Amino acid sequence: MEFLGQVFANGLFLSCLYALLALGTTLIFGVLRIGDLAQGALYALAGYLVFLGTKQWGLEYWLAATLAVVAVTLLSVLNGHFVYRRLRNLGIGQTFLGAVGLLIVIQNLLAIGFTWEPQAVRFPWGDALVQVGSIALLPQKISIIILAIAGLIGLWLFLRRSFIGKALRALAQNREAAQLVGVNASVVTALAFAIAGALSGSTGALMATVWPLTPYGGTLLVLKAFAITVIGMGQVRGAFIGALLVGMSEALVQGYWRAELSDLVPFVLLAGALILKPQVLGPEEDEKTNQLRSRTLPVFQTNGYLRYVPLVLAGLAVILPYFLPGQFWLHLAILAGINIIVVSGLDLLTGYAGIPSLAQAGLIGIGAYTSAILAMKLGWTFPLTLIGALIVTVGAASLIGLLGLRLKGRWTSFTFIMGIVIALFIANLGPFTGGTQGLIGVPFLTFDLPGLGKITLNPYRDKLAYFYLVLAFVVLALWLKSRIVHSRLGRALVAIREDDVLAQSVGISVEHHKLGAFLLSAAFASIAGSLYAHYLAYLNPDLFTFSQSFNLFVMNLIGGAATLLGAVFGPVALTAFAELTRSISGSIASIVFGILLIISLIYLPDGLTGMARKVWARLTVRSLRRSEPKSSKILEAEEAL
Amino acid sequence: MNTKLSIRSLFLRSVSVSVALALLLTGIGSFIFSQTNSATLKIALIADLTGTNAKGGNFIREGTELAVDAVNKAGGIAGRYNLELIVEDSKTSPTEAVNAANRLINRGDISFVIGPLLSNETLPIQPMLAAANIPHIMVATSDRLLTDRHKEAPLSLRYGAQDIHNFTPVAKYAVTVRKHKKFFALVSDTGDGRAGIAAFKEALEKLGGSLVQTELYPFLTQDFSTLVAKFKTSGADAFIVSDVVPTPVIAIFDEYVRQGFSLEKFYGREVLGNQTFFELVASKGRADGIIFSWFYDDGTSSREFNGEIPAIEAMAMSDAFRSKLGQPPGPAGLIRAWGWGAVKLTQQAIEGLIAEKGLNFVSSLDPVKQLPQATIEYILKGATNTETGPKFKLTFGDKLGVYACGQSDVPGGVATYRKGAPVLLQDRHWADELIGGLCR
Repeated sequence: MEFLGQVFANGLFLSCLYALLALGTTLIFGVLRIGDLAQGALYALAGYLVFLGTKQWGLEYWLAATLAVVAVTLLSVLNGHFVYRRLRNLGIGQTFLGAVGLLIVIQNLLAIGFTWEPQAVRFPWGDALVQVGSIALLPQKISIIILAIAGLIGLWLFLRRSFIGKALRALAQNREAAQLVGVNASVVTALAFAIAGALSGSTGALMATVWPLTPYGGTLLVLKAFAITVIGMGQVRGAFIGALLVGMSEALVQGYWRAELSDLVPFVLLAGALILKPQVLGPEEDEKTNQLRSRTLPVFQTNGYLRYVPLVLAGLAVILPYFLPGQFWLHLAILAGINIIVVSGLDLLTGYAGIPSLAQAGLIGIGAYTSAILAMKLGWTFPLTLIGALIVTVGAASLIGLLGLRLKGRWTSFTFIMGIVIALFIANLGPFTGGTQGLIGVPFLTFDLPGLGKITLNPYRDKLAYFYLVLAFVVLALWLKSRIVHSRLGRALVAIREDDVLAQSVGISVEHHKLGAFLLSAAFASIAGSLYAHYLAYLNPDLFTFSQSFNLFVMNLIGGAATLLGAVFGPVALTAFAELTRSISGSIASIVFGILLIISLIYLPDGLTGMARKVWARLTVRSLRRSEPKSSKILEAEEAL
Repeated sequence: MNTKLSIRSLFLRSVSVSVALALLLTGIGSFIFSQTNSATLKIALIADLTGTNAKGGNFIREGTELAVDAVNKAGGIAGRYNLELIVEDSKTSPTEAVNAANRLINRGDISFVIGPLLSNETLPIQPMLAAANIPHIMVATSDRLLTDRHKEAPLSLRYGAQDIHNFTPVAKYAVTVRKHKKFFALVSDTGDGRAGIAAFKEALEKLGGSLVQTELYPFLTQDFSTLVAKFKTSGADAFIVSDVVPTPVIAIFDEYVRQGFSLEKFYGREVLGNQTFFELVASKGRADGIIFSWFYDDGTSSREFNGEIPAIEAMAMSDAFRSKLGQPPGPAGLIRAWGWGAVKLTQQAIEGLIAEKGLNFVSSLDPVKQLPQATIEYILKGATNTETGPKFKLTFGDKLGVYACGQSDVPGGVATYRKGAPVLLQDRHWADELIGGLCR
């Protein structure tokens, strides 16, 4: 009983910690529909400012903490003004990527300033636990509990009773209408960022005295807070229930079950809550708010010359190995090719159907592990492992799709959670997957050809052959994607993305088509996973985490969503960027990546393909104006701009 | 007539002399050229330069860079081979380690690969480098499997320790000296964490002890209050942590102290002896009395063990090593020393090979494909045990040998902190009868 009380107290502390971060992100999500993951970095920044104040400048802890909270609050407002305000109109996908970009920039700046090693800040009242009956807690943890409860009540009263609070709610419900009746959106939005910053700052300043201080210390916390925020859909009630669910389950699993499941169980519960009782967490959301802003770019379909671009690119890819300076570049080309396959599938879902998925890395993982295990345990050759992996991955995707797609506006949140669940599940299936140690010695890709016997492709020796194999799959994936896009299914997906009610009214089954798109994307991911597993000859759950889903999403949007060649440009551009910046320090490269990501989201909202399209359209307009000044084609070309 | 003859003769003689001189000069030139023509050996280091293990990764980079500079400043290995260091960041991730290894393999010009520090980063790249025939000097200090797989990866050497080095002397000290037999274990759910506790359990059970409860925590866990509290109700009489990353270990230690448990019951591995733990916790006297495995410095001969003196010697060695880096005196040059030692091992092995086979023979070997393999074979030659095989003078001492399975005879033992300073209590060989052979 004594232990149960202690576990309960620890769970309450964790719940309040997540709630404090989630309350801030919930406010921002409510107003702008942005999951501000950068609050995790602001949490860490506050701790480092306290460290700097107390250790370097000799300030008292409380003064240093106050200054840190003020600084972090200001920075949060500046983030909102200079970054998120510009991303807001682009859609949930772009704002999400922008938020992660900011998180990466601030986190790596901290790593440069303070190194990746842990630092410690001492609390002025010492490190003794406060005993309440049989329960013992640190004063800082008690402060977190008090702060969270006060914050929750204060925020609730503020939103219900105060004029600004009502304005905030009005803005969350209908931005245009609120502005029409005189709500100053800029001021109210700044206030939401200020409250979130203050909450993250005070939490970070307190927790710096409890846990070792690291630049990545806020990342896992904010991921959990983000999951709580998005399932609550910007509702304080949802955030609070979500925080309780995560914090209490984490402590109970640690206290009474297997500690290694303490990350998995809370996410499974969140997914379960989403599926079974979404209305408890908050009102149903308009599906449109979750959709990705993308347009089907017509340029490669309408212009005669550009129609041949894919063919020219395919031809260039065939002769590419003979122009590459070495095997290393062939390796990069293989990795880029595998990513092109995944992104082609992802684009069908994200770009054409307009429903972003953050579970793609998990689906690649299912394909990769299935293919590897079938080859290792049953000795199956590649075509069989590929088929086996396809069946298992599409089966798993069917389950996710059937459960998640009916959640409509919460679909992206659901895929975000499921992506994490899959990676954690793989990590906890040790006997089959090798657990966190990974699956070592995955067999190389083997074919059993009649008359030739078994042919094994050793990626260290037969890289050229592997390249052509991957290229064949890339061409197949792009051809399939092109066929799907121009089929009834493709047109139906675009119709659903543009107006699902209208699409339904003309007899399109929205749910079936969305499920179809998701299963197709899963099939592409599975093929990529199989190729990846036998190429790398090693698998680890780390390969298939949220960060990999994030990278795929970046590739999709940077390349250009809802385009055939965007799926080629994105992976190639990101692979090239990673290699070009490899010679500089890891943290600086990450900062450059984060900044470039934000800039490109703002200035290249249609990605590289969109940019190419605009350049081509401008050239066309100029040339037509010169040659056929009265041609109607000028108008068509201008439309593309 | 005479004049004509003499002119012709003079002309012919001049031509003859010129040709002879040209031939001579060409011969001498080519001889000199062949003697001074130096080759460059590209040594690659895979290390965690960013991420949770970045400090360790940067330490090993510093040590490796220092050794490469020292070799080059001295005119290269045997005046023949200059070294070039290529560093790849494994970012504290097995995936990035695999990518780094791929990158190095695909370059096609790497002679040796050193690193990375963590077992779960080294395990996947060991077979990759073996398949590519690139000699691999491993410095990971945990999973026994790395040594056990020497047959499949015959060009891999383990310059670091393995978990039975780490945990067997600690288990023996716990049971025989402190009389702690029942343990509660907090273990990182990673390859290193799991491999470590498996080695400790094996040794403990041989001594009649047991692990009464084992808790595996996810990689980025920050709050350990519930897990540490379980120690009280577990019925165990001592507590052990198995993790190679300092941040969670410090968080666990802080929580352990807050909950009022005795430091005399706290056990752990080499991470408790490293610089991060020392600077943030132990140097302030907060960890006095805990027990941990300590590789007190490479090059220190375990055979010279004499009570607490090696600890003092090790400190002096660390200080000397830090002075080479232009840093003030301080402890734990261990990881830097391993980076240094891996390069110096290569240097001495090539020099040994030259002494045995002659410079001309060694110079005729291809520096990427043949020389590195011959070097590894030289290190392993006759090394059925460290007494009979070649020995190498490393960081500050000498006598480091390598067993036939590629495992080096790393000096280490059981340590504690007294008044904020590390003190070696027992040498590793004290537990030899439990460790058995390092090769199996």
